[in-house]
Amino acid sequence: MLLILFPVFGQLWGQNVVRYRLEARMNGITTLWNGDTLNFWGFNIYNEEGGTPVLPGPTIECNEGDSVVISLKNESLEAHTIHLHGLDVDQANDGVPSTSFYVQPGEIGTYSFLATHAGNYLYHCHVGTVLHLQMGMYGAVIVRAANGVNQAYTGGPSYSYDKMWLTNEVAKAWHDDYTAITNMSAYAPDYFHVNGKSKQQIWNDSSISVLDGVVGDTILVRLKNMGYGINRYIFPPGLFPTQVMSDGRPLPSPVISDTVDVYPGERFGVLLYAKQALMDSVRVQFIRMYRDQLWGEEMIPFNISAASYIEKVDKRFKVYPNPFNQFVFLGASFSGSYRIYSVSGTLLEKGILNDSVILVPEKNIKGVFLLVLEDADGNIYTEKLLRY
Amino acid sequence: MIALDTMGQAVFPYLAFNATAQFDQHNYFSRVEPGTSLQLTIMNLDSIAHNILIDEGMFSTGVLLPGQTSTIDFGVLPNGIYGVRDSLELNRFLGLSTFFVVWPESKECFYWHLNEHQSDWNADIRNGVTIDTEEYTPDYFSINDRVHPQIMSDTLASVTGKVNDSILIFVQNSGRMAHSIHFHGYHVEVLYSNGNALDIGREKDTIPVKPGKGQVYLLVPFQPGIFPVHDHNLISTTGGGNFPSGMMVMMNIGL
Repeated sequence: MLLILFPVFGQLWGQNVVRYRLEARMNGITTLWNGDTLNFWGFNIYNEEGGTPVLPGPTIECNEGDSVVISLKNESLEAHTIHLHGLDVDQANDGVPSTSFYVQPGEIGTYSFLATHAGNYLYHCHVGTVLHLQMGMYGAVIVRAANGVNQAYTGGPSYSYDKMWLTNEVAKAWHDDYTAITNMSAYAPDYFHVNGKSKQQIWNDSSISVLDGVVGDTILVRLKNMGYGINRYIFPPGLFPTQVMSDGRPLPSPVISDTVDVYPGERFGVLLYAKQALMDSVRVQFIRMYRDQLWGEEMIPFNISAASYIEKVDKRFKVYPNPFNQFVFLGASFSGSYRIYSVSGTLLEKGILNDSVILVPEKNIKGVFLLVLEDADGNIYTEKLLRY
Repeated sequence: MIALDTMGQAVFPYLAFNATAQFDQHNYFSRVEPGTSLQLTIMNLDSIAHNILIDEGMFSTGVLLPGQTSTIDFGVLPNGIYGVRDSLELNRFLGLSTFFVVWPESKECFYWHLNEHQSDWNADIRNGVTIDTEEYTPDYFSINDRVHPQIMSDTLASVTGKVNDSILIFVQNSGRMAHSIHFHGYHVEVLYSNGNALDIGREKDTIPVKPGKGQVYLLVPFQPGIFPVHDHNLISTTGGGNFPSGMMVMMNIGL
């Protein structure tokens, strides 16, 4: 019998086992874009010295073919679970308490699955789901193509690098006092999160924004909607957004459209082909499921420069952040000078390059500036700067 | 127009299409075999006039006064899902919407007729009180005019079958909101979608169904188990402020 059982075991479980140790907590605090404090519940990676939850929860990453084991220790006073959204796990690992199990306060629960299809997935607590998810108990699962290669799915189109945009709305009143919720139907979000951030928090987060793309890049964006309304992504011209997969499966045929709607619980993989220089933003509209009523909007900066990919690797200077709000750090690997021009060609500022220069062009004026660097040999380098 | 325990928890006036003269809050729906020459007769047993539209207004009864009857000859219709609804939105708020399916029979066929209801509006509409439809805030979300957990006893909605069966699920959204149907445990193939032809052929675990639109899913379970299916706009999994309720049904798949 053993000789029969071993090969069966080998078929059910991947060779590589990826393990995550998560904790559930209900004491999270984060800062909203306007400085207000948001109380939230969520997950964090286990830490011997104690942890604090992060919003969204830690991203679970593995390759197609891996076996994944997630242990969840409940460090809160209410029961929780993990539902592995879209991964088609068996009933015991589904995280629905009435058909599987609760992880009670102080207990450790274990979830396991085989990552059969590369793609984009989610996880969230499935206890009192409408509340626990809104309170922040969610995160992303990324199953990369077999062997971790940069393909949208195993054998699918290749990409240079990827970005994940995991969205949710925030109904702050629920977070301020969830015991005071009298009518969930009146859900009215007032903040809108991409990877737990809004407004300038997005602009300053290079894990969300594309600040230093170059012509020739192919960028895979992983769109994941954990909210209760529609996400409408409106891409700027020049990126040729091509939907290639959804819900962990390749699409029967790619769809090219500058607008991509992602409904609650859906995921899309969209390839962006940077074929021309641009300095623009991806608009993310948060839309109610009734008559397309607009709740709110966020902007994700997108900056593609004209340099070739090789030039990017050898780039002799960098500016950060860009787009910027107050000032820009300029670092150059050569000595020389710099000048900043307005879009009309007026010289606004000039100086000598050293290891680190802080540029503050035309205080309080928003818009595009042109930065020109000149090295000792007379070579000219340019970069567009955008103040928001 | 009868007030009754419509959603198992709340009592509000309701309108429905029934197969007999006996009022039933559960709208009648049916499937016909492809190639069938179809004729539909609608009798208005309500106290006010109605004009019934079929297939987004491709067919109409015209104005039916109380007591009047209209018969529509469709001939042979292409495979698909056909919405049947009152021409007046206010009457659709009251529940007067259903559908029929033209599709080949499968061993296992299930039907999900989606709708939402703002309970306090139903009496207002019937009493002639003006409502602002932009402010729609439904508090009950139904499948086959039932909410969870009552929907679990509906054998036309609760999916049962075995591993490797070919299970067909016919979905019509008669509500005013879009719904995002999420399957636990399985992906399904979208065989038909009159809201978005790009859906067809996709394997999905979460599928948007837009207002007034219909879809057909093929579920071939690869594993046994008991799993829920629900709207992932989780507000729709509440009812009268309670969770779980609303738009959630179970699948029970055996070996």
